[in-house]
Amino acid sequence: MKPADVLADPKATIAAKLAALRTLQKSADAATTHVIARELLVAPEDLREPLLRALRKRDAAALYQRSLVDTRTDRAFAAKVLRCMKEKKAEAALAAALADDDADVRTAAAHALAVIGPSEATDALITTLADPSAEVRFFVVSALAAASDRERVKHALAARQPHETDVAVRSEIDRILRVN
Amino acid sequence: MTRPDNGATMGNIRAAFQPLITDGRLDLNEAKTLTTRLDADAPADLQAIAKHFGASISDDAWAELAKAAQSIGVSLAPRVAVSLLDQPELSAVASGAKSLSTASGRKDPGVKFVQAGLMLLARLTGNAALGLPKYGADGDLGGETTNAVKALQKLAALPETGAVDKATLVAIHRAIQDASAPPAQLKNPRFTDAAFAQIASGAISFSRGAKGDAVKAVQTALIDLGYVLPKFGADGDFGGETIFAITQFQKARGLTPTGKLDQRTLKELDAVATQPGAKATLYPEYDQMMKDGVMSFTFGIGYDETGAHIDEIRKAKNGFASRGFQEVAPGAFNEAQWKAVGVDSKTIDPLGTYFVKQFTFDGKTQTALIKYIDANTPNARQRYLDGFKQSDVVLYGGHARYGSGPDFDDVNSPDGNVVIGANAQGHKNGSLVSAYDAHIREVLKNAPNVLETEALTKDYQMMVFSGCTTDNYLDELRAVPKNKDSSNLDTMTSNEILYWNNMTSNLFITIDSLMTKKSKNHIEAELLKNNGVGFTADGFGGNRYQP
Repeated sequence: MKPADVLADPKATIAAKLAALRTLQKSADAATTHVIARELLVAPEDLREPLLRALRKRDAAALYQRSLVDTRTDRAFAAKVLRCMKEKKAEAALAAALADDDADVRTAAAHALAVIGPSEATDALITTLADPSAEVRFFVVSALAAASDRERVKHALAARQPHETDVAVRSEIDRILRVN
Repeated sequence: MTRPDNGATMGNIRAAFQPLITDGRLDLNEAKTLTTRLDADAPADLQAIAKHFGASISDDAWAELAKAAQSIGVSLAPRVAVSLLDQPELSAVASGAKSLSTASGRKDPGVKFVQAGLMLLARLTGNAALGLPKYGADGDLGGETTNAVKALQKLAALPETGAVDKATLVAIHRAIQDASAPPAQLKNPRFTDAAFAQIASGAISFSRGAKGDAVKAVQTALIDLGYVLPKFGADGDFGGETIFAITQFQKARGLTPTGKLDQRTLKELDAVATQPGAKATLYPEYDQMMKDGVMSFTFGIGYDETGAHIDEIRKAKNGFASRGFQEVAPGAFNEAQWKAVGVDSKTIDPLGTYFVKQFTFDGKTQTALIKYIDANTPNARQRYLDGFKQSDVVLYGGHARYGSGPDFDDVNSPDGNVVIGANAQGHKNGSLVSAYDAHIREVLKNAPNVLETEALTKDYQMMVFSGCTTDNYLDELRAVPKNKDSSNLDTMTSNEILYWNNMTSNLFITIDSLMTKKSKNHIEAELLKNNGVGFTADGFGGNRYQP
């Protein structure tokens, strides 16, 4: 089995995956970076750090920030990788991706902002509170919960609350308003 | 005066011989003395002695009586042929008119017969907990007898009161009947190896070090009954895992837990083992779970550094809503509202979040009450721990933290960790396996092991830990809590790579299955289907519940 296949094989052991990763690191091409990044999205905790180290070595954050604004690439995937890398520098690109036509991209971008913790993206997130997709709105609310400007967030969520129809989103808004 | 079948008057026999048996037992010397006093009524007297004192006759004394009987052409009846239920001294208990306890009827004439029955049972079954080694059948229902009665009641799944009531008397009677039955031919085709015939005859037993196909057959039978040999499986080597599984089996079947495959254990295994190739269908203990009309769950979603838990929170909230659960925010329900959904508000954490639903279970309206915890829950660790100690069903989906326990915050912080797999006494002395990552052990170095600091309910619980290396929790869950064993704790854990996007669905598989009274086999199959890899189920092998 090729190293890329071993790394992606859900039944491979951690040791086998680590050995495959070592082999893959010898290659510097973008396809290999994608293989490593794909595994990072689902990796068990034992594998996280080795995968992250490998991606940082390859400057994968820059690669996926470029992908995020390139309509020819899998932009949702790029946002997911940036989330797993907790790439703070990607905040502006992720905020911009909240306006993407594709709901999957908006979902992944909001999810990434929820993990990274938004500062400059707060305005874009508040705007996206009215997104037609409930999934997007859920991650937007989660991201706002991590924002530093609590008063503004509270005000925006209180304004959204009466209009929110999705049960999970409403539950999250209620929770955040209770805590705040 | 009731006369026994053989015509001897019980009162006469007692008057003649009981003074000899001052300690309630008939030893060899006493038996020899008795046989010298037999006269023309010897056949009847011997039968009466055998029946009346059967339970307290030692093996060599019994042989002496049998020899005397044989010399005059009498064949003695089985040791306890006189049913306890037919003893005139116990007629009021047998009819339910009275019960005997330390508080009432402590020195009732029937006590001695109950004691004799317990002693016989201890001898026949090898279960020392039923014996009365210090005081014997002294006619006084004191602490020793009370404890033996409680042990019997536990085996018979009766309330452990220590009082001899009708149900307890019937249970002793039935247990004696079962244990006195002549050794049956082994009937399960699993046990055709010649070694089994020898074990069945009492000539040998299997213990540590035994090897071969016969051992393998025993191991396979245990596995198919739901006992777990997690590391070595059916390898034909009677080692520690097999000893543990045999011990669990013996405990579940009311046998003395020796860890050996002896005559009695084989007889029991032969009686309950499935046919070759078939797995037993086992169930969680639904009767115990539902005894208060509420199936209570603690539902925890752990923390993930890359935010995977956020999506699982979304799926959980949608999942509860789609199943018709109502979310109850902290403090949203008052006492009357909880009562209206069948829940005693005293059992509720006022600052906790719950999901509640009434559903039909066994034709009755019951309540599913889910205490919900995720990484956003204030004091998540403590809230989860409170539920972990009490809930019928404890669920966790998230990182196993290298076998250390559930965690509701960042891997580098000890604040959210419910530590199971580290820092117990057994980890210090090497009898338990610590979490396998040096970094997590360092993070948790000052965090107490919750199984040592907290008391779990003695009531039945089922725990499902959906995380990659949650199998590592098992040795601690089995070894540390003093009031937990496989009779009141069933677990499902994993030693496979599980993905975060299956965490919530794994927990819902469990909830859906339990609310529809599915078997453990069904839950296992559904989890396997959902994850592509299996979970380890432990403790179900001895469960009594059958639909």
